[in-house]
Amino acid sequence: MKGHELVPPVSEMMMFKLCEVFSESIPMTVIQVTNILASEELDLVVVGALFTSAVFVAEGVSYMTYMKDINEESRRKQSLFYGFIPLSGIKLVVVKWSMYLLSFCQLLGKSLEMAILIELGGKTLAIQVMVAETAFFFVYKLVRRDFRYWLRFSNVYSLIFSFFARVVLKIVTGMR
Amino acid sequence: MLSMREIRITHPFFETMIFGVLIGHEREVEDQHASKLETLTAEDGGDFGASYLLFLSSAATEEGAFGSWVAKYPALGEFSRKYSFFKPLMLSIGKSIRHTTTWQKVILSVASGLMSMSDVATDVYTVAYFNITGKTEVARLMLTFLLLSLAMQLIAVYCVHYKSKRQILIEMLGTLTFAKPAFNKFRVLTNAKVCVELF
Repeated sequence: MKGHELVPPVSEMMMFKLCEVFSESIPMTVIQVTNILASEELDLVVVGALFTSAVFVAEGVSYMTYMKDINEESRRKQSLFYGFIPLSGIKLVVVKWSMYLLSFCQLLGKSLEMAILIELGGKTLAIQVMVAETAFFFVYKLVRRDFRYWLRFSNVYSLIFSFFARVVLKIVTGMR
Repeated sequence: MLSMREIRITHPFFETMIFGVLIGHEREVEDQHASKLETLTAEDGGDFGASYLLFLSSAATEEGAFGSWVAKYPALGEFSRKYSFFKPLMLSIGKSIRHTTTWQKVILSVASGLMSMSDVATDVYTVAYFNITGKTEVARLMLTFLLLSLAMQLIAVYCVHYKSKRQILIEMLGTLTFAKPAFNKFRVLTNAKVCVELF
């Protein structure tokens, strides 16, 4: 770090990927899947755009998980969860590509789910399902006393930041 | 404990191995090397150095590269057990090699930037397509998400670089031209310390 940055390069890259995946790639993929399924004619570039967005999400989210997992501190402090990626050899290649594939399929699967919900009950039903899923996630976090994010803010700011951070992460991790 | 000069004499492979790592090139190396530490030659050292570079280029971390390298050559495992300085030394060298600026890293970073640009370009095309085909509501919704993403990234730039106005402007320019992922990737690939503090 040169000295003025608030976070190291890895964290900065992850912040940007998270912003892009949360506010652009995921919504765009859902909208495109819904509309392509409803369209009678197919434009190849539009289908290509859908796959580009899905690949971008898969690459972005897998890379974030990969960087977090191979980090020494994560492996030391959260060994129950991190450390599942082999550090070298063919196993590393297999796990990395499996992660990409899993993220790609998960995103397309979730987008299809949204498309079906919109087809069945309109946007309202799709939004209701998403809100219900998120609410269930919050209840789970509250029961586990794990709602508040660890960054040091005053009480109100901490709750607001925790709420947004949890929503963003729930959507990103749930969709991919 | 032997001094470095004594190690150089007792283990002739050590010097060539270090040279191989520092100024050599990565290459495939045959497995047929002596499994006993005492029988290793200077020639073996050169091969070990090249092999370590190869492991560094494919492993996730220098720790992983070292583990695989030592597992492949049992004599090096013996050397590592005998001399406690060996592993930290190789990890330290490995870390600085992994974060040296190379053309490969420049190309990887540019590819990352191009991928982001192509994602945006195809999204813009899709917005235009839906607009032309009469689905203006969908087109507007997609445009909103595109702008929201850009706005969130600009806010992130401000938060990360608010202490330097000049840097904010440079980073914002990178964000607006969709070249920021290339900058980010290059910094990550060439930065010595991998630490994830925020997430």
